Amino acid sequence: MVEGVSLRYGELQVLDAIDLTVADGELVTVLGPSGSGKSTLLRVIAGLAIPDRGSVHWDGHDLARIPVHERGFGLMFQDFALFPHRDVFENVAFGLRMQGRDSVRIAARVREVLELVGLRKMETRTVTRLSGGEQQRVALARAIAPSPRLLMLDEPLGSLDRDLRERLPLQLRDIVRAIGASAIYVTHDQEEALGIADRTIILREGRVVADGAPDRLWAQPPSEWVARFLGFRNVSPALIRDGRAATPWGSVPVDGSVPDGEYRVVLRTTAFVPDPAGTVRGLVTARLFRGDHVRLELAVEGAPALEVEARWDPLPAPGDRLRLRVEPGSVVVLPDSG
Amino acid sequence: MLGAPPLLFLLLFFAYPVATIVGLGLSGDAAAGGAGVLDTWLDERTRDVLGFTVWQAALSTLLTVLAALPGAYVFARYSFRGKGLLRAATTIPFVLPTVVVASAFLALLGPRSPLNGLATMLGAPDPVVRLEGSLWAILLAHVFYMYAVVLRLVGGVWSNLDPRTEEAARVLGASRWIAFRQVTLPLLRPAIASAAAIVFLFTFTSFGVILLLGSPGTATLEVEIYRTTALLLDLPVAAALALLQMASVALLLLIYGRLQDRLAIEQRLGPAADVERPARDRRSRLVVGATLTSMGLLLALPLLVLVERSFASGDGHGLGGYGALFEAGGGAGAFVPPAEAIGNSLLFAAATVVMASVLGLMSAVAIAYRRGWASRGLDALLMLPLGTSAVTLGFGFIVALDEPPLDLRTSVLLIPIAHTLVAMPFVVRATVPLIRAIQPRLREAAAVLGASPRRTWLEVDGPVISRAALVGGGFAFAVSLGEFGATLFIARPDVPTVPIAIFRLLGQPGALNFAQAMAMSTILMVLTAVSVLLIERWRGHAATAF
Repeated sequence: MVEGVSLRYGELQVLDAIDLTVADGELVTVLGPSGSGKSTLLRVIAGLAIPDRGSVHWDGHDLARIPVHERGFGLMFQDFALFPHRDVFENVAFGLRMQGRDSVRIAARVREVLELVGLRKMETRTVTRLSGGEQQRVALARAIAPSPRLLMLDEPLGSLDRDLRERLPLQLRDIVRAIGASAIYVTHDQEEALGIADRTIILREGRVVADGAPDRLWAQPPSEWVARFLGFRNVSPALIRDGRAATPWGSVPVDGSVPDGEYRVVLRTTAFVPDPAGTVRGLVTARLFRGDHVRLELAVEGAPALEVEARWDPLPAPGDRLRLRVEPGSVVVLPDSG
Repeated sequence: MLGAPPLLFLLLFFAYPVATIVGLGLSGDAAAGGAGVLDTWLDERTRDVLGFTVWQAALSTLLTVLAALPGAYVFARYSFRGKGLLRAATTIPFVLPTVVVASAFLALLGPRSPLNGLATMLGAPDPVVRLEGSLWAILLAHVFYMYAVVLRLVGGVWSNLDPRTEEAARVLGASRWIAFRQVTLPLLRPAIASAAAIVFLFTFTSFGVILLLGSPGTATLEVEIYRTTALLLDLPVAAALALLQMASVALLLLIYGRLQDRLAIEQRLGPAADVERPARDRRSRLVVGATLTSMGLLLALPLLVLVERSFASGDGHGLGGYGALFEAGGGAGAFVPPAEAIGNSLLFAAATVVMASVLGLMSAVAIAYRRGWASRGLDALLMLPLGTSAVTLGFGFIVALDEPPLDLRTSVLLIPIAHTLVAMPFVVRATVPLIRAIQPRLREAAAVLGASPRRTWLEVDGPVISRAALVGGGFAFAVSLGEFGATLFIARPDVPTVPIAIFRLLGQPGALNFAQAMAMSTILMVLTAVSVLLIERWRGHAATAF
């Protein structure tokens, strides 16, 4: 639905030849660091920003000449942008009034969506007096009330505290599923993006650098940058021969189908198992207790620091020397060096 | 203790004259044959005058708001080169003396307008522009004068509105117009209402502009008080009119206060940083371009024409107007060269600076340091002369201070005293926030570092207060230079100020007198602009409560 969209603000290339398609009922998350153009992409689709090049389509129709208010899309803004001079009911009813529905049906629909987001009996509350989580749900209710054919959410959990950020994504997904619309969900949080999506695209400096199902992206990041952005550590160049990779940390097994040559590889932090005969040796320099596991930082001679997560018994302490083995199948071979 | 001298000053030179007006107005009832206050109020002429006063103020307010809203929008939402400079420039009309504004519009809209010269060149038989004496001239001058108030107040709130609120409405299906009507306008309404109330109050009490640009048919209460006093010499009727004026202003202030309470909308104000964008597409470039162009035409054209006219003499351009200022007699029939008025004005302004700074700072320190009922009372009392019209003030002076115990009518001190009354509220308003901004922590830090209380005051409070004194003095200087309404009542014929000299020159026929008036106005404009720019420099970024 978005083809080759580019947009510059002065010297800054905000969007650079972006292509994006969303299937019926699909939930796509757009992930990227701040300044990667995520919000601008939503603004272009909504019609709030006009691209320098490229086009936005819906069902094969070019939307270039359709103004914002006739596109029939829903957009939930970062920080919500609720109308401060209107109460909860009036906020949610706004889009319905714009559709020219009669007041009886408006009232019924408002009650319905408020019920859906869990805000019953809040109709007459002043929006500025609501908590962050309540405002977030009013904003969601307002966006979905007119039954948009496409729902866009811009950092919907951005300004909420940690507890809500962990609980709300699933609820949000269920609500989006319930109304059956296609949805684009923008966030800078990897866990949030991968956790709820049918498909995730990753933006970097206005370009799409990854596009795929979350589990596929996780199993095989398309580039080193994406791997690092998704939180992978222990990235390094390696020479692969006969199913083993020679890394600065030692020799580790890789998928046998990889042709011999020079690559960059990722050793997942969870790939390590304590083993007196292991090929990786290191000196524990730091220890971070994380409840169900322990994260260690190891100094390996002639190599960058290595991060390792595992269950240990007994817990190693800084100063201990360890020998580790790498489980087959847990080394990611990256297709490029970028 | 510090508050006592200013309090005494206010009682003597404000409360006493006002009380005299009240007495004079009410005494008409007792005196047989004299017109009582009610007779005057119910007189048909009074009703016409009051009606016109309200009507022109309402029209001026409406036009100013309509004219300034696009500017407020452009300033709030777009960034462009020279914006800061332009923003500062837009306030110049508001600080100009009314006489200068009136002169500028006479130059632009009168028979001597360069627009007419242009039309004659193009073959028009008669002058096309002859708006002097009409309601239109008054309205245009008021819009010019008050534009900055709406631009600043509404633009300030607008730039703090989150643009996404309006975008949210757009995405939900509202057209541009509906989104503005239903979302932006309601959020701006309190700001618009307060700006409109201020414009209404100013134009309701407008005097110089109407006296100079209007005609007998366009008399407001202020002008009528002046006419009744100076031409008809009917003091009781003038007093009754002054009472009506005071009552109206009090009522307006009351309504304004109520309005502010009722209209407040609770909203989270967003940062103004990321909402100002360069105009990118054709439509917004058009909007910005058209708005800035019309803003420039409205605000710059009258002043440019004023300067141009000041150099116009006979057929060409020259310094004739300026030269004639230094000659006595002349066509103006003045006893003294008009240029002497400049010296007078500077002397009066200097005296005003001293009195207003000393009294104003005493009040400011009293108000800032002590927050009891006494300081609040002084604060409120200080604002009253500002709410009272200048004409009422001048009228009060001539009815109250012309006989024992206080016979000051022939004293040259009368003018700086009147100017001090007008300037003191500005001085106090400008300096109290500066003084209040001194953090107690600083004094504590100085004390901990070993400074004695006296030393602490000198090192911490002293510098702030002396800067405040500069700012206050600058205000007093600018106010004194431009004051017209009160001065017109009390100035001695042989000791005119610059605005009075301009007024007299404009009342005389002939091209040379007109050129002299324009020259004098240009000088006054430059003097005022310079002092205002200096105030802005001194004031820096300190918070002020205007």
